[in-house]
Amino acid sequence: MNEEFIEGLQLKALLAAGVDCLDAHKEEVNDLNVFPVPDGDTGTNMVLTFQAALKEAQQASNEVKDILERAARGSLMGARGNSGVILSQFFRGFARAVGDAGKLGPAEISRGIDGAAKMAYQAIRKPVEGTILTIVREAAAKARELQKQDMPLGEFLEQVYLHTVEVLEKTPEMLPTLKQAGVVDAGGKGLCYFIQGFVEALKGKTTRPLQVVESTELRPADPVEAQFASSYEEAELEPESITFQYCTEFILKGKDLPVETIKEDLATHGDSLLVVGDERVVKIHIHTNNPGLVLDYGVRLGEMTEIKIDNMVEQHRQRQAKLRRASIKPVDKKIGIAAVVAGDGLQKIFRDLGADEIIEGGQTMNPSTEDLCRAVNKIRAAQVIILPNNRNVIMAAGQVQALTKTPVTVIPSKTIPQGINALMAYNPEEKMKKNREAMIKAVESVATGEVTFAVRDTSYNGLEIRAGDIIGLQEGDIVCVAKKPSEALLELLGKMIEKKESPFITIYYGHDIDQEEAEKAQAEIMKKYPRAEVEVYHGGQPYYFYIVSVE
Amino acid sequence: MLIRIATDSTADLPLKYIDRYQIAVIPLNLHFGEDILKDGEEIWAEEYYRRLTMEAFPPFTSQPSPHEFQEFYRKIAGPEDTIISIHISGKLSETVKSARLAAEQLQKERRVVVVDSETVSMALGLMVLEVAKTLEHEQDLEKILDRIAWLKKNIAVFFTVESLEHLSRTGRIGDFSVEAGHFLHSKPILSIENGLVVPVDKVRGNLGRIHRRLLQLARERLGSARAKIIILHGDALEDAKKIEELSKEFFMETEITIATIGPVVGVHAGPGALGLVALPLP
Repeated sequence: MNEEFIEGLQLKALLAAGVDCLDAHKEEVNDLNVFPVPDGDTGTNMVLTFQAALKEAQQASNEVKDILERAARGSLMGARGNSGVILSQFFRGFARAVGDAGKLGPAEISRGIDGAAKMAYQAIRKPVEGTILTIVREAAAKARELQKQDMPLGEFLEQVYLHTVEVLEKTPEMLPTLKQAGVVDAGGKGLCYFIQGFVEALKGKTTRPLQVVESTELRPADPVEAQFASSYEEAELEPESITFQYCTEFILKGKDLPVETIKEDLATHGDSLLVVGDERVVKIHIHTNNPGLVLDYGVRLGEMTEIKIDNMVEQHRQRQAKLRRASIKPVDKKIGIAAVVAGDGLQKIFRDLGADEIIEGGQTMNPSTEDLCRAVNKIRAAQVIILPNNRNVIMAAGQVQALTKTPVTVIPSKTIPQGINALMAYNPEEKMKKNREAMIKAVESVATGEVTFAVRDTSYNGLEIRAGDIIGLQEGDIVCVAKKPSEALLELLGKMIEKKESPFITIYYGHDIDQEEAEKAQAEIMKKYPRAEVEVYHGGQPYYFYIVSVE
Repeated sequence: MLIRIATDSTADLPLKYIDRYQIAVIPLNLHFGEDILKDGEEIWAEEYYRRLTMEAFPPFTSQPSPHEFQEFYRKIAGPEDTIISIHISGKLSETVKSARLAAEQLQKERRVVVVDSETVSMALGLMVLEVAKTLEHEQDLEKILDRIAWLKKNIAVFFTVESLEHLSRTGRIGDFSVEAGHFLHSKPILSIENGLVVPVDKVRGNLGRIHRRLLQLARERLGSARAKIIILHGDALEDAKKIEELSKEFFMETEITIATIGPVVGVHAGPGALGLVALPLP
């Protein structure tokens, strides 16, 4: 293995190792979320975003530039949550800074990390120190410094990695919320795990072997399966650029399979070669003009299963035809609306208020940029408004415009009540500009409270919270802890109502609350606040016992 | 030679104003099954809303015929006079079309200037009233028409209906979603723009919130805290009085009139409709 430069095929394997390492520590990263609420977790979001990047990268040619560009595109499509969007900016910045460099040495990597940091800082309106942003910026500074010292690539990367871990340990000093919760930044930790996997694989001492194929039964969520999943749905190959026509894939089982030798032997048969596994099971993927020769080679080494040969030129033709059909999007109306909502009752309410497409998720699982984009493309409207209804979906929604021709407007609704208010203000007879103004104003005119449970022990805002405690959130901030949902609701409302003279309260009760219980809570609220008007609706949302708005 | 002012029964003008300013009003027709009744002559608001609860089939309305208009014009003015005939929006009713046809046919006998008010109910009523007042000291036709153009621009109207079903049944509303907000019991706030009923907002919660929103919208549109205000109601006097009460929160100086939405407009707005017409005071 050449330690001085990373080249195409190796880059793919190293990316995979990084993702694998992060995936293995996903839960640990999830547990670092300062907020003990059952929301889209940082670790999960990062892994899903990285996997999307990897899937695209694996389908690239073995050119470094191509791999990085495809990874950037893949991460953009698959970006979930704010951490996912930041990762996609890293990839984009890295790819752009590296440019046409055919291989990656300390100089190129240093340039790349610097580009990644700059791109991410640009993309975030108010960068916060003590987060993943700080980690990547510090990595860039360290890489710049080390790069001058002319050290071997492996050592260079290891030093950069060790520095990021050091900085990570300091994040609680930079962000009071981290310090209070006694944790390091989750996104930063996730990134460190990725770098760790990458560096260890390069130095040949992977904590786990690449774990490409443990058995022939691949779990669909396995990142390696993602890297092999030869769906060319998103590929942008031109037929002329397909020099090797047949995508050939199979799994080879045997004894003492010589992985490195297979790689060398097959390299002359085509491109996009991937040979991964161990001496007992090897998965092979190659684009070739003569699949017969490749199979012939395989059959001599062992037993072959899951043989798959696709004609990529034909696939391309079909895909183009499909794209042409899809690009003539029929338009039924001027403005369409896509909203991210979980819970049958809330989904009904959003549909009733005029949402054309509902994207399942929000509190439980943050939809990816691609999920949002798909919903936008489904709506037969000249323009589309997206209501993210969750603070961790707003950024991903902001990325949708890069992926679709339909003009997209994101109304930054952070909560369900904000989304409902925005929809109430929507006027199908008005132009986008006026609607946008009215909807943003509506978002700002409602106060939101949520009652859920803590998923882990933590301390926040001076509150000692145990896993399983019922917590009340005001505008996303934990303000009270209770033993029962209705108790939390009352205490929360007390804080939300404050001095409001005749508040208008709307309660959406979740999946785990029945109507009777909700109505009992309503009666109690009306008793406590005789001047208040209280409406109760079935929301059906998971995990959140109550979502409440005060106007 | 005089300038006479005429309008139709959809202006919902209270009788005292009709008498005081000698406004000629041509009735539209209300159809209860086989029964055809002249709006404001054979049926009035109170009777209409009472009868509505007993009828099996929803009523409908029709405009006066060109012939009726000819008779009307002949009756209200002499050959030397000029008639300014201001009517319900041509996009909501064919009335103004009948008026124009009649005016053309009468060319040699009477001079009739037909105006499409692009609005309805007391928004039209207020326009007519203001013109009638102007006529007391100003007889120059050009100046009167300028005044009408100014009123068209400055009269604000906002209203809410119990249900959009009536407007939608009679085709008086655009193709926007009639059912929007059904689940959350929201009420639509509507306006009339360029002669058409358009949605402005949706409001949830009890009527107090809707009353306030109507006043707030009127205040914003007027850009003035001094206003002439007409509160309209379709058999909902109590609510109208509440709006009058609340208006102090939004306006400093007001001339307030409460008026009933008459039978013909009532067919389209439905019972329980509430509206606000406002014009800045000079």
